Amino acid sequence: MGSRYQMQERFGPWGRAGQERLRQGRAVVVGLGVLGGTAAMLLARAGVGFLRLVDPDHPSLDNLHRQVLYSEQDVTAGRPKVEAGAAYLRSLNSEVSIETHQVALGPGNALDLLRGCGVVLDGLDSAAARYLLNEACLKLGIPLVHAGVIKAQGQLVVVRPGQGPCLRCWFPSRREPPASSAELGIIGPAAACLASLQTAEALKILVGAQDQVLEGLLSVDLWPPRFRTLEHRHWDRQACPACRGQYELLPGDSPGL
Amino acid sequence: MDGGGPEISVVVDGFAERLPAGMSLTALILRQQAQHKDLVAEVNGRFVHPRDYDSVLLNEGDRVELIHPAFGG
Repeated sequence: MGSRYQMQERFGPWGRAGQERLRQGRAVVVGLGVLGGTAAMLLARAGVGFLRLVDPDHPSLDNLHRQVLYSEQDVTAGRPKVEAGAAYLRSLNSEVSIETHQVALGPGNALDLLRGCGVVLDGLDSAAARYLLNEACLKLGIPLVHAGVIKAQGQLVVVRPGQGPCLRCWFPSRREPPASSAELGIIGPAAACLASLQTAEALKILVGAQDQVLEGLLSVDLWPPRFRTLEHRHWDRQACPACRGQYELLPGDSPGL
Repeated sequence: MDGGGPEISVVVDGFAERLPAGMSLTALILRQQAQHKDLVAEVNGRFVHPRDYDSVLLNEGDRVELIHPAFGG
């Protein structure tokens, strides 16, 4: 019988060394909806050593068409997403250490929730929370793998603190879009596609393949299908308050590093 | 096509468009009925900050990509 991870270890750029780095790796998934839940599932199956899950909510029936961690029983029982998700992930891979936090990311807890992890995955569902997550990652110097999805489209950005544009550089307006996914809808395959791309970037960081990480913004549309990569050739660290260390969303007395 | 002046050919989101010569990025965005401040714009592979939309004038053969950020998850 082969080993649990032999198929991904046979992928040359990953190998056994990468698998060992992944086993020692620590990831935090903030938001356990379709993006975060799918990403957490892929990370757990791949054998990440430690997974921290953050979400305040409970799954609802209208989540089930796209959110892979939850069952009808979880909805009926009113189990929190982090609890139901952790139970499912442990059933997939008992080797993964899972820590849960049933809280919303906020200015007062953001740094503590992220600290000690090698990569942060953005599974949030609002622009406001994402700008906060962006600042916290910049302050702690932790790579952030951002994805967002609506209708049949979305985008992916990897923020490498101090080395390239952050979310605020890409989306300087800092406004919520005029319509939310609750109004415009969202289809499972688009979200799963973005979550899969997001997980691939996180895994590259965890296995030590930083040179393969996405540069720029990857825009994905499935209806009709179109993938585009945009480059941010004008990045100027000093032009962005968040990149130059002026954190407007974190408390001024945050301990930070 | 609006107006009767000289035209240029510009590729917008992968589709060739005939546009009035000298059109600004702001005017194109309005023409596309997009939300001015809430999108990511790129001209010829170069990110354009929203503060520069008025001053970027499109030229023959330019390639423009306009992306509306998605913030669901």
